[in-house]
Amino acid sequence: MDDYGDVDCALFRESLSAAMDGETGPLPEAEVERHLRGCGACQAWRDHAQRLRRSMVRQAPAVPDLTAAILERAPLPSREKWTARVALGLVGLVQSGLGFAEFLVPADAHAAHTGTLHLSNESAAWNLALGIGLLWAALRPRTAGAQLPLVAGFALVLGVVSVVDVSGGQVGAGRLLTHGLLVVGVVLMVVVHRQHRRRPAPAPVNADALGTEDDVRLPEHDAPAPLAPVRRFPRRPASRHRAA
Amino acid sequence: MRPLRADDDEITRWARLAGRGDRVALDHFVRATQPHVWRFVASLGDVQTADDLVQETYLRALGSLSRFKGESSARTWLLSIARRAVADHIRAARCRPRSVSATDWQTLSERDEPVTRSPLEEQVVLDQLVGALDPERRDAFVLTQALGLSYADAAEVCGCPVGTIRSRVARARDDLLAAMADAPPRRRVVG
Repeated sequence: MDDYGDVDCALFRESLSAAMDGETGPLPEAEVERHLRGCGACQAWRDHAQRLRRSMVRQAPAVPDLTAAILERAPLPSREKWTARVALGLVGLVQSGLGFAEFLVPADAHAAHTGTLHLSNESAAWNLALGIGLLWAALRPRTAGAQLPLVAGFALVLGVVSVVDVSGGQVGAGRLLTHGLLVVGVVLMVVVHRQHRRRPAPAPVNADALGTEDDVRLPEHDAPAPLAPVRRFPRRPASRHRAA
Repeated sequence: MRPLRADDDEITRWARLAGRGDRVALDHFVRATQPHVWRFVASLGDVQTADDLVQETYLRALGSLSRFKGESSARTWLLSIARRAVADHIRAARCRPRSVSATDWQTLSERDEPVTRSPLEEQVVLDQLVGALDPERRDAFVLTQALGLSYADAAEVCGCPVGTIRSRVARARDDLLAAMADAPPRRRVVG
């Protein structure tokens, strides 16, 4: 480089510029140093550039807080919390299974007085119904809220009765265990209900104003589809509107 | 506002959680990244549009957040979206008189009278000069100087090689220093 009579300073300045940012420049440091010693213009350039750099760093403007506006307008990250719903679905399945099993194997079949058999069937029907309800709430979260009084009420009364029965020695551990399952189901139902309710209305998906040739496309499966979507839970977008 | 101080990893983690529907993480993510996005889009030199552009950026970003895999830093990912939002805006507003052009750049550096300017005014002049830079150089300059990104991160945001960022930053410095040298008082901006 030094061999040329007319040295192009641009590459040296690029090196100086990179160096003051702590980055690697295009030229070896020694070569830049050598050039700098002989080039007053580049020395001045470096000094000024360094001052410019400092004034940029110093500059810390007040930034408006647009968080609320952003979150209000923005399309929500679409993937909702599935864990609670999946768990609720599982509990619902097991609960239904238990209820169904009760039909097949009445707990006290051998002591088959007519009255107790029917009572057992009735209890089985209740357990099956609760299982179905839990499952339904998992599939259609917006129904969770409406079911809560029934299911929670049942669990509450059952809880009180169980405490009395346990102290009276009238109930087995296995039976109590199935009640525990129901309690878990109620809790999950509350969680699903709250999550679903908290989900605000979908933002209007219009990339208005600004001429948009979006590289970042608004994903069609994320946005609430304007037409009836054909997905696994086809009612979901509609239920969002209702939740709003 | 109270910007949330957070490092890149944390921001990326929030972005991933937010993509899965975590509202709290989403809130954190927006709060923590917003100052950067705002300063970046404000480097256009027009505070009025800055607010809109910030919102536009998040509107785009949050829409595709669920597909953000966290393979790259969420901050650079978001800034690259902001960059495209700005570019689209400029394209749409090209025929508007307010948009920055080469002649503005000239008049801007020749316009003002010398002598007394408060530091704040000097800052404003510097902002204007930065805003009037060639868009590619301005992006590289603002990302690395005002936002403090490394050249590598800036390259990721701009989708170009690191060497390109390096030369754009140097050229931006050249332009700015030349503009300041043309108008004597402007030296005081840096001095």
